[in-house]
Amino acid sequence: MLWSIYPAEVIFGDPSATPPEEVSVAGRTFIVSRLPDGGRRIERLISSDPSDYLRPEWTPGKQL
Amino acid sequence: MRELNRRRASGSSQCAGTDSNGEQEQPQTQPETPPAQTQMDAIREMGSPAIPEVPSNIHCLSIIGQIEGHMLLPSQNKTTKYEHVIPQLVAVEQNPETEGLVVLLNTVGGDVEAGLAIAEMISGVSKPTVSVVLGGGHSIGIPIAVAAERAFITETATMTVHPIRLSGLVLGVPQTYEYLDKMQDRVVRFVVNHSGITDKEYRRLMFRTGELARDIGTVLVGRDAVEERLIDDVGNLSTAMGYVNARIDEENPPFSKGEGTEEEAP
Repeated sequence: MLWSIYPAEVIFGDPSATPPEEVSVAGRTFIVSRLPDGGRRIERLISSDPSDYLRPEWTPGKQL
Repeated sequence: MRELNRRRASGSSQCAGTDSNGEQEQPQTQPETPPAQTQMDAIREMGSPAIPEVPSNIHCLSIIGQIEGHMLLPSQNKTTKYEHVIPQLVAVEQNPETEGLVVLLNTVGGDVEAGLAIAEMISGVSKPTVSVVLGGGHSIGIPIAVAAERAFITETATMTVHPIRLSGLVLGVPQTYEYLDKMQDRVVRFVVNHSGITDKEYRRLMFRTGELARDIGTVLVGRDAVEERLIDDVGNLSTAMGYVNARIDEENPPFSKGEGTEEEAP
Protein backbone atom coordinates (compact mmCIF):
# COMPACT_ATOMS: atom_id res chain seq x y z
CA MET A 1 0.00 0.00 0.00
CA LEU A 2 1.57 3.27 -1.12
CA TRP A 3 1.09 6.44 0.87
CA SER A 4 2.78 9.35 -0.81
CA ILE A 5 2.23 12.97 -1.76
CA TYR A 6 2.89 11.94 -5.37
CA PRO A 7 -0.11 10.69 -7.34
CA ALA A 8 -0.04 7.06 -8.49
CA GLU A 9 0.16 8.05 -12.17
CA VAL A 10 3.44 9.86 -11.51
CA ILE A 11 4.91 6.97 -9.53
CA PHE A 12 3.87 4.31 -12.05
CA GLY A 13 4.28 6.52 -15.11
CA ASP A 14 7.04 4.76 -17.04
CA PRO A 15 7.32 1.04 -16.28
CA SER A 16 9.50 0.46 -19.35
CA ALA A 17 12.61 2.14 -17.90
CA THR A 18 15.33 -0.39 -17.08
CA PRO A 19 16.01 -0.90 -13.38
CA PRO A 20 19.48 0.17 -12.21
CA GLU A 21 22.11 -2.46 -11.56
CA GLU A 22 23.21 -3.09 -8.00
CA VAL A 23 26.65 -4.46 -7.14
CA SER A 24 28.46 -5.15 -3.90
CA VAL A 25 32.12 -4.13 -3.57
CA ALA A 26 34.12 -4.30 -0.31
CA GLY A 27 30.91 -4.91 1.62
CA ARG A 28 29.24 -1.74 0.30
CA THR A 29 26.35 -1.60 -2.09
CA PHE A 30 26.66 0.47 -5.23
CA ILE A 31 24.06 1.42 -7.82
CA VAL A 32 25.93 1.39 -11.13
CA SER A 33 25.26 2.05 -14.78
CA ARG A 34 26.93 0.13 -17.60
CA LEU A 35 29.31 1.94 -19.91
CA PRO A 36 29.56 1.06 -23.61
CA ASP A 37 32.88 -0.71 -22.93
CA GLY A 38 31.27 -2.90 -20.25
CA GLY A 39 32.68 -0.87 -17.34
CA ARG A 40 30.60 0.03 -14.30
CA ARG A 41 30.11 3.67 -13.46
CA ILE A 42 29.05 4.52 -9.89
CA GLU A 43 25.69 6.28 -9.74
CA ARG A 44 25.09 5.98 -6.03
CA LEU A 45 26.78 4.50 -2.97
CA ILE A 46 24.58 2.98 -0.29
CA SER A 47 26.29 2.99 3.09
CA SER A 48 25.51 4.27 6.56
CA ASP A 49 29.16 5.19 7.21
CA PRO A 50 29.62 8.87 6.27
CA SER A 51 33.37 8.38 5.74
CA ASP A 52 32.62 6.00 2.84
CA TYR A 53 31.24 8.97 0.92
CA LEU A 54 34.56 10.78 1.29
CA ARG A 55 36.56 8.02 -0.38
CA PRO A 56 37.62 9.51 -3.71
CA GLU A 57 37.48 6.15 -5.52
CA TRP A 58 33.83 5.73 -4.50
CA THR A 59 32.46 9.09 -5.58
CA PRO A 60 29.67 9.04 -8.18
CA GLY A 61 31.03 9.18 -11.70
CA LYS A 62 34.01 6.94 -10.91
CA GLN A 63 34.38 3.51 -12.45
CA LEU A 64 34.37 0.47 -10.20
CA MET B 1 37.96 2.32 21.02
CA ARG B 2 40.63 4.43 22.68
CA GLU B 3 41.03 6.16 19.35
CA LEU B 4 37.32 7.03 19.32
CA ASN B 5 37.42 8.36 22.88
CA ARG B 6 40.47 10.40 22.11
CA ARG B 7 38.81 11.97 19.10
CA ARG B 8 35.68 12.74 21.09
CA ALA B 9 37.68 14.22 23.91
CA SER B 10 39.44 16.51 21.47
CA GLY B 11 36.03 17.88 20.58
CA SER B 12 36.29 17.31 16.85
CA SER B 13 33.18 16.11 15.08
CA GLN B 14 33.34 12.80 13.21
CA CYS B 15 30.84 13.62 10.52
CA ALA B 16 31.78 15.24 7.27
CA GLY B 17 31.05 18.90 6.92
CA THR B 18 30.33 19.60 10.58
CA ASP B 19 33.77 20.71 11.64
CA SER B 20 32.79 24.00 13.20
CA ASN B 21 36.29 25.15 14.11
CA GLY B 22 37.29 24.95 10.47
CA GLU B 23 40.21 22.59 11.03
CA GLN B 24 40.74 19.82 8.52
CA GLU B 25 42.21 16.54 9.71
CA GLN B 26 44.85 15.07 7.48
CA PRO B 27 43.93 11.68 5.98
CA GLN B 28 45.22 8.76 8.07
CA THR B 29 45.62 6.41 5.14
CA GLN B 30 46.59 7.18 1.61
CA PRO B 31 44.30 5.94 -1.15
CA GLU B 32 45.79 3.45 -3.62
CA THR B 33 45.64 5.89 -6.53
CA PRO B 34 48.22 8.69 -6.53
CA PRO B 35 46.71 11.82 -4.90
CA ALA B 36 47.43 14.01 -7.92
CA GLN B 37 45.58 11.64 -10.26
CA THR B 38 42.69 11.29 -7.78
CA GLN B 39 42.37 15.04 -7.58
CA MET B 40 42.35 15.30 -11.37
CA ASP B 41 39.70 12.55 -11.66
CA ALA B 42 37.51 14.18 -9.04
CA ILE B 43 37.76 17.55 -10.72
CA ARG B 44 37.06 16.05 -14.15
CA GLU B 45 34.14 13.82 -13.06
CA MET B 46 32.45 15.86 -10.36
CA GLY B 47 33.86 19.36 -10.66
CA SER B 48 35.16 19.15 -7.12
CA PRO B 49 38.44 18.16 -5.49
CA ALA B 50 38.65 15.05 -3.28
CA ILE B 51 38.09 15.50 0.45
CA PRO B 52 40.35 13.79 3.01
CA GLU B 53 38.99 10.62 4.60
CA VAL B 54 37.79 10.86 8.21
CA PRO B 55 36.68 7.78 10.16
CA SER B 56 33.23 8.00 11.72
CA ASN B 57 31.67 6.77 14.96
CA ILE B 58 28.29 8.23 14.05
CA HIS B 59 26.50 6.56 11.20
CA CYS B 60 24.12 8.31 8.90
CA LEU B 61 21.02 6.98 7.19
CA SER B 62 19.48 9.02 4.42
CA ILE B 63 15.85 8.31 3.61
CA ILE B 64 15.31 9.82 0.18
CA GLY B 65 12.62 9.75 -2.51
CA GLN B 66 9.98 7.05 -2.30
CA ILE B 67 10.21 4.42 0.42
CA GLU B 68 10.17 1.16 -1.48
CA GLY B 69 8.74 -1.94 0.14
CA HIS B 70 7.04 -5.03 -1.20
CA MET B 71 6.81 -3.72 -4.74
CA LEU B 72 9.64 -2.61 -7.02
CA LEU B 73 8.81 0.88 -8.30
CA PRO B 74 9.54 1.96 -11.88
CA SER B 75 13.11 3.20 -12.12
CA GLN B 76 12.28 6.86 -12.74
CA ASN B 77 11.48 6.96 -9.01
CA LYS B 78 14.34 7.71 -6.68
CA THR B 79 13.83 5.22 -3.86
CA THR B 80 15.06 4.12 -0.47
CA LYS B 81 14.79 0.37 -0.34
CA TYR B 82 13.72 -1.58 2.71
CA GLU B 83 16.33 -4.27 2.01
CA HIS B 84 19.14 -1.67 2.10
CA VAL B 85 18.03 0.15 5.22
CA ILE B 86 17.07 -2.69 7.56
CA PRO B 87 20.49 -4.44 7.47
CA GLN B 88 22.22 -1.07 7.93
CA LEU B 89 20.18 -0.51 11.09
CA VAL B 90 21.12 -3.96 12.35
CA ALA B 91 24.79 -3.14 11.65
CA VAL B 92 24.49 0.17 13.51
CA GLU B 93 23.05 -1.61 16.54
CA GLN B 94 25.54 -4.46 16.41
CA ASN B 95 28.83 -2.69 15.58
CA PRO B 96 30.60 -1.60 18.81
CA GLU B 97 32.47 1.16 16.94
CA THR B 98 29.21 2.83 15.93
CA GLU B 99 28.05 5.01 18.80
CA GLY B 100 25.19 7.00 17.34
CA LEU B 101 22.84 7.33 14.38
CA VAL B 102 21.67 10.34 12.41
CA VAL B 103 18.65 9.85 10.14
CA LEU B 104 18.29 12.43 7.37
CA LEU B 105 14.90 12.57 5.71
CA ASN B 106 13.90 13.98 2.38
CA THR B 107 11.07 11.68 1.38
CA VAL B 108 7.73 11.99 -0.39
CA GLY B 109 6.31 8.92 1.35
CA GLY B 110 5.90 5.43 -0.02
CA ASP B 111 5.11 1.93 1.16
CA VAL B 112 3.26 1.99 4.49
CA GLU B 113 4.57 -1.31 5.81
CA ALA B 114 8.18 -0.68 4.78
CA GLY B 115 7.99 2.81 6.32
CA LEU B 116 6.58 1.48 9.56
CA ALA B 117 9.22 -1.27 9.62
CA ILE B 118 12.03 1.28 9.23
CA ALA B 119 10.42 3.47 11.91
CA GLU B 120 10.17 0.54 14.31
CA MET B 121 13.79 -0.41 13.63
CA ILE B 122 15.01 3.14 14.32
CA SER B 123 13.03 3.32 17.55
CA GLY B 124 14.52 -0.06 18.49
CA VAL B 125 18.14 1.10 18.21
CA SER B 126 19.59 1.29 21.74
CA LYS B 127 22.26 3.86 20.78
CA PRO B 128 21.56 7.61 20.61
CA THR B 129 19.46 8.40 17.52
CA VAL B 130 18.43 11.69 16.00
CA SER B 131 16.48 12.61 12.89
CA VAL B 132 16.53 15.72 10.74
CA VAL B 133 13.76 16.50 8.26
CA LEU B 134 15.34 18.30 5.30
CA GLY B 135 13.30 19.39 2.33
CA GLY B 136 10.34 17.13 3.00
CA GLY B 137 9.20 14.37 5.30
CA HIS B 138 5.73 13.56 4.06
CA SER B 139 3.13 10.84 4.64
CA ILE B 140 4.94 7.70 5.83
CA GLY B 141 8.06 9.83 6.37
CA ILE B 142 6.41 11.22 9.52
CA PRO B 143 6.60 8.01 11.60
CA ILE B 144 10.24 7.61 10.51
CA ALA B 145 11.05 11.18 11.60
CA VAL B 146 9.47 10.78 15.03
CA ALA B 147 10.98 7.31 15.58
CA ALA B 148 14.37 8.74 16.55
CA GLU B 149 15.10 9.70 20.14
CA ARG B 150 15.00 13.36 19.15
CA ALA B 151 13.58 14.80 15.93
CA PHE B 152 14.64 18.05 14.29
CA ILE B 153 13.25 19.88 11.29
CA THR B 154 14.97 22.59 9.29
CA GLU B 155 13.24 25.98 8.94
CA THR B 156 12.40 25.34 5.29
CA ALA B 157 11.40 21.66 5.44
CA THR B 158 7.77 20.61 5.06
CA MET B 159 5.72 17.70 6.32
CA THR B 160 2.39 16.75 4.76
CA VAL B 161 -0.02 15.12 7.18
CA HIS B 162 -2.77 13.48 5.13
CA PRO B 163 -4.83 10.27 5.21
CA ILE B 164 -3.73 6.91 3.79
CA ARG B 165 -5.43 6.08 0.51
CA LEU B 166 -5.82 3.08 -1.76
CA SER B 167 -4.86 3.28 -5.42
CA GLY B 168 -5.64 0.88 -8.25
CA LEU B 169 -8.59 -1.53 -8.24
CA VAL B 170 -10.54 -1.11 -5.02
CA LEU B 171 -13.45 -3.29 -3.95
CA GLY B 172 -16.26 -0.99 -2.88
CA VAL B 173 -17.25 -2.98 0.18
CA PRO B 174 -17.39 -1.95 3.86
CA GLN B 175 -14.39 -4.20 4.62
CA THR B 176 -12.19 -2.00 2.41
CA TYR B 177 -12.92 1.01 4.60
CA GLU B 178 -12.38 -0.99 7.78
CA TYR B 179 -9.02 -2.17 6.46
CA LEU B 180 -8.05 1.38 5.55
CA ASP B 181 -9.05 2.52 9.03
CA LYS B 182 -6.87 -0.17 10.60
CA MET B 183 -3.86 0.86 8.50
CA GLN B 184 -4.48 4.48 9.45
CA ASP B 185 -4.68 3.58 13.15
CA ARG B 186 -1.32 1.77 13.00
CA VAL B 187 0.40 4.90 11.72
CA VAL B 188 -1.43 7.32 14.02
CA ARG B 189 -0.68 5.16 17.07
CA PHE B 190 3.03 5.05 16.23
CA VAL B 191 3.25 8.81 15.70
CA VAL B 192 1.31 9.58 18.90
CA ASN B 193 3.50 7.18 20.92
CA HIS B 194 6.76 8.67 19.62
CA SER B 195 5.98 12.39 19.60
CA GLY B 196 4.19 14.98 21.70
CA ILE B 197 1.09 15.24 19.50
CA THR B 198 -2.23 13.74 20.64
CA ASP B 199 -4.36 11.34 18.63
CA LYS B 200 -7.10 13.96 18.30
CA GLU B 201 -4.72 16.70 17.13
CA TYR B 202 -3.01 14.45 14.59
CA ARG B 203 -6.34 13.42 13.09
CA ARG B 204 -7.45 17.05 13.01
CA LEU B 205 -4.37 17.90 10.89
CA MET B 206 -4.93 14.82 8.75
CA PHE B 207 -8.53 15.55 7.83
CA ARG B 208 -8.34 19.32 7.48
CA THR B 209 -9.94 20.58 4.28
CA GLY B 210 -9.16 23.64 2.20
CA GLU B 211 -5.39 23.57 2.55
CA LEU B 212 -4.29 21.15 -0.16
CA ALA B 213 -5.42 21.43 -3.77
CA ARG B 214 -5.63 17.69 -4.56
CA ASP B 215 -6.05 16.25 -1.12
CA ILE B 216 -7.24 16.82 2.41
CA GLY B 217 -4.68 17.32 5.16
CA THR B 218 -2.16 19.88 6.36
CA VAL B 219 1.27 21.03 5.25
CA LEU B 220 3.49 21.87 8.21
CA VAL B 221 6.46 24.11 7.39
CA GLY B 222 9.48 23.97 9.73
CA ARG B 223 8.39 25.58 12.98
CA ASP B 224 4.71 24.58 12.45
CA ALA B 225 5.69 20.94 13.03
CA VAL B 226 7.35 21.94 16.31
CA GLU B 227 4.33 24.00 17.40
CA GLU B 228 2.06 21.02 16.71
CA ARG B 229 4.49 18.99 18.90
CA LEU B 230 5.07 16.52 16.09
CA ILE B 231 8.80 17.36 15.95
CA ASP B 232 10.92 18.23 18.99
CA ASP B 233 12.75 21.28 17.69
CA VAL B 234 13.88 23.32 14.71
CA GLY B 235 17.46 22.40 13.91
CA ASN B 236 19.99 21.47 11.29
CA LEU B 237 22.89 19.09 10.85
CA SER B 238 25.09 20.64 13.52
CA THR B 239 22.21 20.70 16.02
CA ALA B 240 21.59 17.01 15.37
CA MET B 241 25.28 16.08 15.56
CA GLY B 242 25.61 18.11 18.75
CA TYR B 243 22.71 16.21 20.28
CA VAL B 244 24.13 12.79 19.37
CA ASN B 245 27.62 13.70 20.58
CA ALA B 246 26.21 14.97 23.89
CA ARG B 247 24.21 11.77 24.33
CA ILE B 248 27.26 9.63 23.52
CA ASP B 249 29.24 11.51 26.15
CA GLU B 250 26.40 10.92 28.62
CA GLU B 251 26.63 7.21 28.02
CA ASN B 252 30.23 7.14 29.21
CA PRO B 253 31.79 4.59 29.26
CA PRO B 254 30.39 4.15 25.75
CA PHE B 255 30.26 0.35 25.61
CA SER B 256 28.48 -0.44 28.88
CA LYS B 257 25.23 -1.51 27.25
CA GLY B 258 23.49 -4.37 29.03
CA GLU B 259 25.07 -3.34 32.35
CA GLY B 260 22.27 -1.34 33.83
CA THR B 261 21.13 0.89 30.97
CA GLU B 262 17.53 0.21 32.03
CA GLU B 263 18.10 1.74 35.46
CA GLU B 264 19.73 4.80 33.91
CA ALA B 265 16.68 5.53 31.80
CA PRO B 266 14.65 8.44 33.18
